Amino acid sequence: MIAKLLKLQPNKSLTSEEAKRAPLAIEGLSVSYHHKPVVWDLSFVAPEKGLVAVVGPNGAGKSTFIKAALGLIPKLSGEITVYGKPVDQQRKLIGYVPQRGSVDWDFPASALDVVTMGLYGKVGWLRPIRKSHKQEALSYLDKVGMADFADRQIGQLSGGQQQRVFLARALAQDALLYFMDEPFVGVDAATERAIINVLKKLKDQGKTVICVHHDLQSAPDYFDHALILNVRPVASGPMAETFTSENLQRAYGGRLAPSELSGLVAMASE
Amino acid sequence: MDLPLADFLQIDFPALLVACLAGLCCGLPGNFLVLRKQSLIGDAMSHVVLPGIVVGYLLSGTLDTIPMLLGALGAALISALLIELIRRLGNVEPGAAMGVVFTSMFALGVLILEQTGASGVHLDVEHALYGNLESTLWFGLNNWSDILSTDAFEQMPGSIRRLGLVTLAVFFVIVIFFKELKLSTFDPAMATSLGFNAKYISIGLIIVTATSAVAAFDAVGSILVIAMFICPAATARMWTDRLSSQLLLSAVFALLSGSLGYLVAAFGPFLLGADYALNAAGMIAVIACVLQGISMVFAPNHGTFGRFLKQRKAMQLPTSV
Repeated sequence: MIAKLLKLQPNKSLTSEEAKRAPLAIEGLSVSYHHKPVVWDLSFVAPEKGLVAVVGPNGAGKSTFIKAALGLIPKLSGEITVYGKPVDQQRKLIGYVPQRGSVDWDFPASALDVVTMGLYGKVGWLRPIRKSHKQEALSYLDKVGMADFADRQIGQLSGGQQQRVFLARALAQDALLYFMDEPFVGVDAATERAIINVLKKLKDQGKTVICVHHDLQSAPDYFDHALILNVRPVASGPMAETFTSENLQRAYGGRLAPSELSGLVAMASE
Repeated sequence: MDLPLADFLQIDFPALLVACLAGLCCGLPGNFLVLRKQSLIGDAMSHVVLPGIVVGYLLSGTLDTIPMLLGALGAALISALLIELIRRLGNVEPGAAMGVVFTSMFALGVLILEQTGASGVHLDVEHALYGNLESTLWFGLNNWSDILSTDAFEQMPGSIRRLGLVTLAVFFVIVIFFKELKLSTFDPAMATSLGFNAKYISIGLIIVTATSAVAAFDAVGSILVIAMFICPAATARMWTDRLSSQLLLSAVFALLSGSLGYLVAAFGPFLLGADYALNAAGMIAVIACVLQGISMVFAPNHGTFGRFLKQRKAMQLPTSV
């Protein structure tokens, strides 16, 4: 167990001291679905002020990893701490951008309504939403260039605009640690730029973003750390050290052609 | 047709009140059921409560609210467990599991009812389906001013008191937990990640649904309970894209179908020269359905014809071709 950990993270051994400070520390996380392992024996320490890409082939358990880390689905085993405490005690420090397809966009709510939901954690149980909350939510919509669409019913927005609404909602959570599940999927160029800007700003503010990312080409550009997994963890660490052809080959098996691999690795080491 | 005020106040007014209250207490939580795509739960609850109510009645020997409510909640809980069990063990999809459980629970209720002799006293199968809206009588009302008198309050039928209390409770629960219900209905994962455990909120909503179903079931029967859980909310959704407006509109539609349905059932045939009345619960459900139909066609954004008109206007085409 320890040996495996050391092998996966050659630069850091998971000391309790380090886990205490880390935005996210996971040890030995396993999740199964209908007796089928989806994430197996995953240990991972997220860096402070880091943009972490979670990559792996389809069915590698990327979304499951995020949901389990957030405590949304039951885990078989494993220890998860956020800034040294269990997730349940740190909810106010965590922001979450789920997959766009996970909600019903026909829901009777405006873009502003959805962004306001990001403030609910701060507002707390039973307290009503006030004008000042709506004002605050509007400022977050403005940050992703969506202020003009505040009153639009969410189903009337394009896919990219919907993603930006989700992003604004995450910003409204004003968290230290963000989980994002495939925010770049199916978005237009403007939204892609908006997301990248937001990611950079979050990093500059000293925040940590853990982001499921399906596109290997852009991963080295957008992120500075990577967690590669395929049910079992393959590698994690700074992008240049992690995005090696050996690691990618191990995660993706024969699904990547050698030429593709060398191209990706060259990008990562730049 | 001559209708003395006292007759109206003693016979029709209480029935109208029951119809409206039942509409409100089922219609309001119905909004969240419909948005969660769990409309079937309202349906399931209204069937499932029958064996619970019968067993509650048999064990306690009275038609008091508390034993019936406990029995019904027990039945609802057992059904929820059974649905989960069938889903897991049989690998059956949730809708089918629900269908299996609630029809068998209802059938079980009918069997117990028929076998134990509980039927005929107050509960029988016909009641279970249509309720006893027409037999809700409020003696002691001779004038409008009597409604406020203590005497009338003492003579208030149990079903009105029961429904009134439950409706009030449901109303406050929804107002107080509006934010939490909205979030957990739209995005349960997000709700949980923010510390509003979606599973607990969901269980809470089912308890509210079961309570409404029990309170309304006895008075208006399962047909109307199902209609009122779904129709007002689905109709209201056609007219607005705001959740708070939808809740308000669903209340309006519930009241409208309740009062209109009862009046048409009670007086419609008279006006046409016939000397009988129609079943009120059935007519209310029909009116609710008609309102839904009208909305599906004419509502500005979601209705077929309404949308057509709007598009035409947007394209600046003359309306008369």
